[in-house]
Amino acid sequence: MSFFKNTPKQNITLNENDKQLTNDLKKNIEMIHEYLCQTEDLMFKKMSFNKMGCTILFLDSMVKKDILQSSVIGPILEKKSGEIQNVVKTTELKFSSNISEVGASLLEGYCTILIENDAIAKSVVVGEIAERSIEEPANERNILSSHDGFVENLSTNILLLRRRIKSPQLKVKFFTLGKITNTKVSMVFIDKLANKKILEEVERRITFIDVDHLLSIGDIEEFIEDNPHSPFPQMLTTERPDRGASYLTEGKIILIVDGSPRILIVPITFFAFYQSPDDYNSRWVLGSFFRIIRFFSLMISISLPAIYIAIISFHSEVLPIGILYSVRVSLEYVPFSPLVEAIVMQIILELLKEASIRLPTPIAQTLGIVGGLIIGTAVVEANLVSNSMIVVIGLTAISSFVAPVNQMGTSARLLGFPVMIAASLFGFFGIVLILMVLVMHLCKLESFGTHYFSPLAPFKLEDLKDTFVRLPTWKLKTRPTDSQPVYKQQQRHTRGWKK
Amino acid sequence: MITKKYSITKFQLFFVLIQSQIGIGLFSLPNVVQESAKGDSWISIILAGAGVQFLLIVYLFLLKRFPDDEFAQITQKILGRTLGKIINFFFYFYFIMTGSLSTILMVKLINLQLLPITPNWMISLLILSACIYLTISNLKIIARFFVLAFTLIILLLFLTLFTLLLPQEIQFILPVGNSGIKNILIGSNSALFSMVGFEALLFLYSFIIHNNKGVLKTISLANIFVTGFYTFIVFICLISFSPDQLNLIREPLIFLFRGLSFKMFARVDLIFLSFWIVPMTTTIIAYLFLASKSLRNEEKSYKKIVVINGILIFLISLIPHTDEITNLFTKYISYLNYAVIYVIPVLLLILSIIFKKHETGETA
Amino acid sequence: MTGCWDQHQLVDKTIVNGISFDLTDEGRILLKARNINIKSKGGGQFEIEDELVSAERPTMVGLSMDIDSKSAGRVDYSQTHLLLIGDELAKQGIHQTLDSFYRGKDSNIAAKIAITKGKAHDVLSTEKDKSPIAFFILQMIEGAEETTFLPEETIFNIWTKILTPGKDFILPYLEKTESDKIAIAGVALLNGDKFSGITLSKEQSTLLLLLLDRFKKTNFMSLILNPTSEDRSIAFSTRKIKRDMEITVDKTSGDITCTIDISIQVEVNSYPQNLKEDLNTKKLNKEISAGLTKQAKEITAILLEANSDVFGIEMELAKRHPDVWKKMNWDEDYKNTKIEPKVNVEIIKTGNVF
Repeated sequence: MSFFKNTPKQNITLNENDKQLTNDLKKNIEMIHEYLCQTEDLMFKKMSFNKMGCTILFLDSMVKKDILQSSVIGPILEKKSGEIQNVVKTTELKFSSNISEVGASLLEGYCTILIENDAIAKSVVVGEIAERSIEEPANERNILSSHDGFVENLSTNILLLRRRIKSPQLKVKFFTLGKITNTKVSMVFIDKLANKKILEEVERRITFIDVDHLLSIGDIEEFIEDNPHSPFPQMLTTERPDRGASYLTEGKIILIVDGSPRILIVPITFFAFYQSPDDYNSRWVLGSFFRIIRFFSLMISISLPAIYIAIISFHSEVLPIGILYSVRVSLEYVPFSPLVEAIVMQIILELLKEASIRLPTPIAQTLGIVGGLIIGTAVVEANLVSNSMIVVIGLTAISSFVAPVNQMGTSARLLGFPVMIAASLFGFFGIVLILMVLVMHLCKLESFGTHYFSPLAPFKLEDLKDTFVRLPTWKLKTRPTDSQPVYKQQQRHTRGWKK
Repeated sequence: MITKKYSITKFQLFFVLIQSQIGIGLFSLPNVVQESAKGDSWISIILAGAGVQFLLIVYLFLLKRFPDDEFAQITQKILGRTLGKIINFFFYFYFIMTGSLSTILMVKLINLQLLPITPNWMISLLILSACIYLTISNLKIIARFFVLAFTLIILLLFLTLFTLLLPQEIQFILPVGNSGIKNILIGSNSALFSMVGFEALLFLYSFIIHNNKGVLKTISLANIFVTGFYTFIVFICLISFSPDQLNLIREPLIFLFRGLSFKMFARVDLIFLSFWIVPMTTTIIAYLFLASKSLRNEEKSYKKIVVINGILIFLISLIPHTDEITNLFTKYISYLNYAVIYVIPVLLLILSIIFKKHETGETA
Repeated sequence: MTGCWDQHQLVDKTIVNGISFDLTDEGRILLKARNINIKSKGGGQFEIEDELVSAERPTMVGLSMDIDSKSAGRVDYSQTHLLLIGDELAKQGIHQTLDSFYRGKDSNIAAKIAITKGKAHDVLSTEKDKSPIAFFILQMIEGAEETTFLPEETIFNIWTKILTPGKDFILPYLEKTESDKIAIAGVALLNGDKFSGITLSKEQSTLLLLLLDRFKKTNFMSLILNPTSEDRSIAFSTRKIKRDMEITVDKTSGDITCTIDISIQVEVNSYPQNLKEDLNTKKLNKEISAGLTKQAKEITAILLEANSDVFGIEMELAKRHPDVWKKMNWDEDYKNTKIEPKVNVEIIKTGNVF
């Protein structure tokens, strides 16, 4: 039991109410009502049972009425006597005489049965589960893989995972975080596979979380990540169960927050952000090709505007004659320096992107045409921005959306800004310097004890088979070692039929 | 074996040694060596490599007698506390000076080829900030970065293959042995300055995992790679340029790349030079790291020491870089070179044998 | 922070395409440069034009400053693909002209050099309403290089060759014809870095390049076989070539003989003939070989006259017979060497018709 100081800043003191139920039914009801701050959606159903007064309390919004009627009220009205636990039809029956426990159960969607002269309350689960249907997440579309996605309800999410991994070793651990919100957080992992040290570390960090409210996955992420100042995300969030399940089988740990459809996967490496479930469902040559294109897009989104600026500001000797003249011609009457042009275009792009998230659908298409064709062309004709700059920025934007995980793509795009500034100050030297510092940063970064830039640093040859290219599935005999799983072999002789 | 907190594998050792050696010296190497050895410069390099191999074996003998101690401790164990500390300080001074010289040369090169008007202190500041940023983290991370930076050396090798498209004259190196043994040896001497970096082994040995076997193989491979690499580069320069030309050109390799011109890529030398910044920086990082490890320090103050050393190198690099001053600096450093790389370890080995001082590591 | 010390924006540069160097009558150096001028035709359309700027100074230095003062923005020589040197100036030696090109960090070292008949700036100032003139000349030279009319030389190669003792080189030779057009006139022979004043015609230059074993993808030659009777002529292209060169020193007389044997395999391009007769390949081979050998002998005679040691005989001599070489004064003794070329032709293809 922790001691709280009586200062104005303190949290809601929940511990002074370690009150117990009494034998007086009315008093009990009053105490519970008081505990829930006289909320008006607390309902009372008065009945009699065992020839004594009996009240069923429940939160109107949390219970499923038909279950309440058929499983609890109905049998009580029928039987009228006996032990409650034998009368009520339920999977879970909790006994409690502690007010706060009763209150917590009510908040979870239980209904509490209070009987006169009985200081023990019985809580029965009758919860309402109102949720949206399982559908493909909008931001993580895939062509060839499954189309279901996580929803807001914790149990359904765990169901989606269990459905894919029907193993007795799949273990779920629950935490409750947030003093006001009492959010349920679960940690899912494969018991004999995941690394014990990492598990302990994750648990340790979670238990340190002491907040009033924990509403979304982003909060947990920021509380437990190693380096919140780095531009690179150190945990993968996804809404796809197939991704989650595949990472579980690699020995990674999943965190799910009730109320948020995104899950957190730890520990993660940089290259995981460029893998997509589609890679594994197409032929391995195609999968490898797409991987390579994605890495290429990373290069482009970070460095293309910077290279362009460096070339036209410092080293125009590099361009061959043909391109040089086209670029020169397009730059002729533009009054701004290339850096200003580039930054302005990037900002306009970000504005467009933010606006298009919030645009109502009917307007979006028309505005797209207006924005793209007319404004774009008009800007060039008014000589405010050069043609070649628009090509460069457009290419950069497209390539930054190629990243399967949106966060990484946006990080890459935003990282382009310092590289651009370095390029406009120092040319190629500046670009190489900043990229070098970035690689150094990536080498330093660790995610729960795992090296972020593995398998390039430290260099592990056998992990490379699923990084830049995707070798055929029958060649992937060992798991990637970055999450330090307990055992590595994941396949035996899979093509034994071939003579 | 006492396990150190930060350790590197032999695989990483290979790359660390290579990156410490290959850096700024690459460019002026053909010019410097051919001053005396002329067409036989490539033989000079091979001889220099053989000399380095001999030294590496001497180092190994010394280090194997003290498998778990850092070099700063070894000197104290052999020579006693005070004398050991003096030697350690000597090493420290040498590392700081060599680091500064590498920085000065690198800044000069960038100034000459890429950014002529940008003030030197700016370039120096940028480079050293990046170096401090990496060196502040521990040896493992430095080693990882070095492994990655190796890809750029491979890239350079790939680019040099294209220079074979340019016209060449084998005549320039024939007849072999024309310059005479004496000149070849003088050339080897000049070559040695570009090959320093292997003394890092002295300080890295205690951090290598399982350093009771296999180290000789790794360091020999590293030496062979560096020697081969340099020989190849010098060879290409020798056959592409006439002896008079080589005497005139400051950095023959860069000039050679300028002659390459493709339809899509006009100035290969600019691109190559921009990439080469990384191997040059790794050399400076190596020296910064070594300087910070050469005085016996606790782990906690390591970060502070790195920053202080970095600032120190920066201040030294602010000295004006005219050709004369740089040449003078180089000359004095090469004297230091002899003392630190050749004389001291040999002395230490001899003394440790005479006084029978050694410690066997606990067998695993 | 205006830390852009080294920035110079592409827009602010004047791009020079081609440069010509000449010796004026008073012995001063005249330089003319072709700058790019971009005119906007409105609606995002542009037109690129050339304009000519000139500067004159007593020596090579300082010319670029004058050009800079007559051009908008800073002058950028990194796209200068063509260097024309007037023959008078070339006779004084081209090494000086090239110094700033390989010293500076920005110049285009892969530029092509040519020597012109008469004043170089005449060639450069030919107006052409198509593309910039320097490109036109450049493409002409490149085309000729591919068909082995002109040697492939850039500033980079030339500098190496100037500083290589024992071997001389040749440069393209351009001229301006009467109808205001530029034409390739052959190659110029140089001795050291000085133009000897003697040139070879186009037909001779391609044969010389074959003798030098510098065959590119293809070449075209034509020969009039028998001027007397049937006025037969033949045109053919070389497909393959093999060259043997040997230098022998006669111990007693000290005479140096250089024999060059080339065997070429050719394809007949055009052979207007008496259709009733069959093609007699053997006879043709002999005739073409004889004709080409005669031409080769003429070429080598001209080489000796120009004192241009393009075969690198001196170098070979220094390598193989150093004692003999040490005794000679190559500048004067070169004339006494005997060069004996021999051409052996074999027809391997005759096209669609026999």
